[in-house]
This record gives sequence, structure tokens and C-alpha cells, in this order.
Amino acid sequence: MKTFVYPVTMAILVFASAFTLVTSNQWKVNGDNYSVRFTSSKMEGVFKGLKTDIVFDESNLASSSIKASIEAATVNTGNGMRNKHAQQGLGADQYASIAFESIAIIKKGDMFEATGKLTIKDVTKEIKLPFSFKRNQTGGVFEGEFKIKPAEYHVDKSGTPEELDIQLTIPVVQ
Amino acid sequence: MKLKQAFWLGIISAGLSSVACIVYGYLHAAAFYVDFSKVLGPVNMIAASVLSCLLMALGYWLALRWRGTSLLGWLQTGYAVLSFVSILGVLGFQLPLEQESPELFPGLAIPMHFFPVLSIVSVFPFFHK
Repeated sequence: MKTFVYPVTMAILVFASAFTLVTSNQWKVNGDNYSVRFTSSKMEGVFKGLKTDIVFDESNLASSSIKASIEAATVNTGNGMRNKHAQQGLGADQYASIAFESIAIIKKGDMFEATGKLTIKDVTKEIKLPFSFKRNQTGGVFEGEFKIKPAEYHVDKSGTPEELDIQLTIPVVQ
Repeated sequence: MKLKQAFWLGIISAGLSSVACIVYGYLHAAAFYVDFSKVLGPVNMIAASVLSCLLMALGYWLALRWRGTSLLGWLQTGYAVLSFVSILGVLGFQLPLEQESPELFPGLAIPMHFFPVLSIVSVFPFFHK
């Protein structure tokens, strides 16, 4: 019986450490300090209600993936009437969230690029999302920026800007 | 009406307007649990009340010197119309993006736009007999 103690203990330790390695690439949003911001020549605003499922390892991009969503009804342009207009444009009653899911992540110079599917309202389109990841003492920060044309996602209520610049700053911890 | 009286008319009505604004601000915050003090705090309320009431008092002084009491009705109507038009500025105002519940801001700021004219019209009879 004693002869099994060491092999079994070693097997458990090896299994547990492997499990630790897998979970160490998992990142979660650090509190409410994130920023999901959109700007255009006409307006600017932010979204809240960010939910993420991020697995990211700079040295193993093949196994990395990013899933993120925000609540459409949380759009805040700093003006109550414009918020209502934006919520209607996004169809927030019917389409509660705006979601992104990566298909592939590659290294591009000093940055990374996630190719993925962005879903707004009833439209899903493939986009490329360039981003950086900087580690810090508490974890790291993802920063990315990309442009979208709202009309391509059936967000075409009068007054909607032709193009929006989306800026993401997401502090994460493990 | 002397200029000195016009000055005190402006100051006293600004005081009343400031008190009304501050009390209403507290009531609004207590009723809706939203804090707009970073955008519209007591200092802003007092400054806006003093500026608008002194300007209106100067208007009274000029009108009385120029045409006597015959312009008073039009002057007060003008003040009311200007106060009403000024709410367009509130409706189009952009709050900082970190401010929560911006849809509740007009309910705070719009009534305040009428407090200076209400207070000066109330106080004016005590200064002009």
C-alpha cells in the first residue's frame, strides 16, 4: 500500500499544477475602472455592464481567446435625451447586449490583433481589433481602438454618426 | 429708484434665489439619490443667482430712468421669456460621461432657471413704491 503513496501524491501534484497553469491565463476585469468609450465628431459616450471571458497568454496566442459583452441600455452620452435616442437606435429593449468573440489572435508589431465577430442588434460582422496588453503589479491593462460604421449594424436612427471610433481600456487581474 | 437700491434689490433677490436653489438641490438629491454637485453645486447656484439678479436689477434701474413705470410690464415679461428660453441650454447640456443618470439633470436645473426671476419679481415691490 505504501508503495502507492508517493506515485499517487506525485500524480495529484502534477495534475494540480497543470490545472494552475491553465487557469493562470484567465483574466477578469478589475472592478469598474474600465472604459468602453465611443467618439465621433458629433458626440461621445461610454458603455457600462462589461462582462468578459478572457484567456490570454502573450506567448501562447493560439490558445488565447477573448469574449466580451456590454449592456446596450447603459449607453451614456452625458445627456438624458440623447441617451434615450441612442438606446432606441441600438434597440436596447430587444437586443440587450453588444458582444465580441475572438476567432484568432495574432501578434502584430508591438501590438496584438484579435479577429472576431462583433454583434450589434441583429447583425454579426467580422472585425479586426488591434490591442495592446501591458502587465503591471496588479495584473495588466488591455487597450484597443477600432472604428465601426453604425449603419452596417442597422443602427441608423437619425442623428447617428456615420463612423464611430471605439476606445477600450480594460484593467484586468488574474 | 436709485442705483444703490437697485444694487440691494439684486443682492437680496440673489440671496433668496440662492436659498431656493440650494434647498431644491438637496430635495432633488434626497428624492432621486443622484448627486449632481460636481456639475451644479452650491457655488454655481449662488454665482448664477447673483449674476442674473444683479443684471435684472440693473434692467429695472435703466427702465425706470428711461421710461418710468411704463416699461415695467414688458421688462418683467422679457425676464420671464428669457428664463424660459434659457432652459434650452439645460436640455442640450452635456454632463461629464462619468455622471450617472443624466436624464434626471433637467429636473434639477430647469426649475432653478426660474428662481432668480421669481425672487426679483417678488422683492421688487418693496423697493419701488
